[in-house]
Amino acid sequence: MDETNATDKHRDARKPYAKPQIQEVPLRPDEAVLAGCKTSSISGAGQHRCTSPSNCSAPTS
Amino acid sequence: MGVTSAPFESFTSIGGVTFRVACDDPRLASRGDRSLDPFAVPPTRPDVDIRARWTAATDDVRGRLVFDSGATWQLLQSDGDFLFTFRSSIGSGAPYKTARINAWFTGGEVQVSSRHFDGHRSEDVYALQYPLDELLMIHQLSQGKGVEIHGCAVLDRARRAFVFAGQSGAGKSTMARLWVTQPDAMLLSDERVVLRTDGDRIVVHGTPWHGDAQLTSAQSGELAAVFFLHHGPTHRCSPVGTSLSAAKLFSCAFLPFHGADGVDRTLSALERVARDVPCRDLWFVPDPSIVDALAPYMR
Repeated sequence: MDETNATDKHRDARKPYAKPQIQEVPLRPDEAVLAGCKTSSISGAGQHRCTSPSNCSAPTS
Repeated sequence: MGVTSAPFESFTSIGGVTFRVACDDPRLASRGDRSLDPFAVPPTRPDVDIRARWTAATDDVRGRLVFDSGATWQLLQSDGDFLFTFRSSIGSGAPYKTARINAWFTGGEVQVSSRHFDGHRSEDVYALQYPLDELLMIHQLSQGKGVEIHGCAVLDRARRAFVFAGQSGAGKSTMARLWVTQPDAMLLSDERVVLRTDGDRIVVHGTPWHGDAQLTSAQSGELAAVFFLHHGPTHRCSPVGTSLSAAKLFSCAFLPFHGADGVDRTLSALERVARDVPCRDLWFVPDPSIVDALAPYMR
């Protein structure tokens, strides 16, 4: 095999350079650390933002 | 940790992780709203063994603060154990519950304040009540078992699971409602699913932690694809590269932020998902036509 030709072919097959791009992915810290109320998991008096012992007042699902 | 006997106990399995709650009062062993019933399993050797009891005053909460959620719970390190404390905006300010858990998250003791709940009567005093149940799950999964993410999931007739991931407001419950009437589809959850990445295949499990559509299932299936949900003017699907997929999965995942090793293992789980299955952005309008529009991507 001709190494030079092989290298040329390899070079031709390269994808054109594309400048890297920064993409932001938003985070929701309160969701990620289980800080908010959940309608699915009402714990009565347990919820930080609850004002009632039996109903969640701030569902954030 | 050995399994000790108790007058009352409950066994639940979520995402392949089995929890046992042993106690003297049956109210501490099960959820009042019965939402855990589909996840009940016969007595077996648990992955997480919890002893629960009432106490007049919750455990001494001295320890090194490891993580503060900024809301209901804090995590401390105390005598080689992890100590979760849970506080409410109502009551005295003392924890209404503490959970002393061993370093491997395989067992521990939950103390529920009788003083707090006597003053604020509640029908639901389940020892692992949210968010403790999910905190234990997240830490169990971060041992190298997988990851829990915000996502609705659909199981098809071949038991392949398609996850629609997104943060609050992305459209998980909306998407779930559009699928729920489909005869060949089963909803695993409209809000949170567990991805087990510790086997040959990535397996998606339903969880009891539902969203607005209140859809849950204890079923599971092999992960076939991930869609990142967005509301849009028309239905549109676009492939997402591995790196960006991992980042998007990260934004929907629950991580044990206080521990570098656990975070590292969770990131590895996310990386495997991003690498092994097709991930796409999905813009959709809340219309039943999305089911047919997705057909080419769910073959």
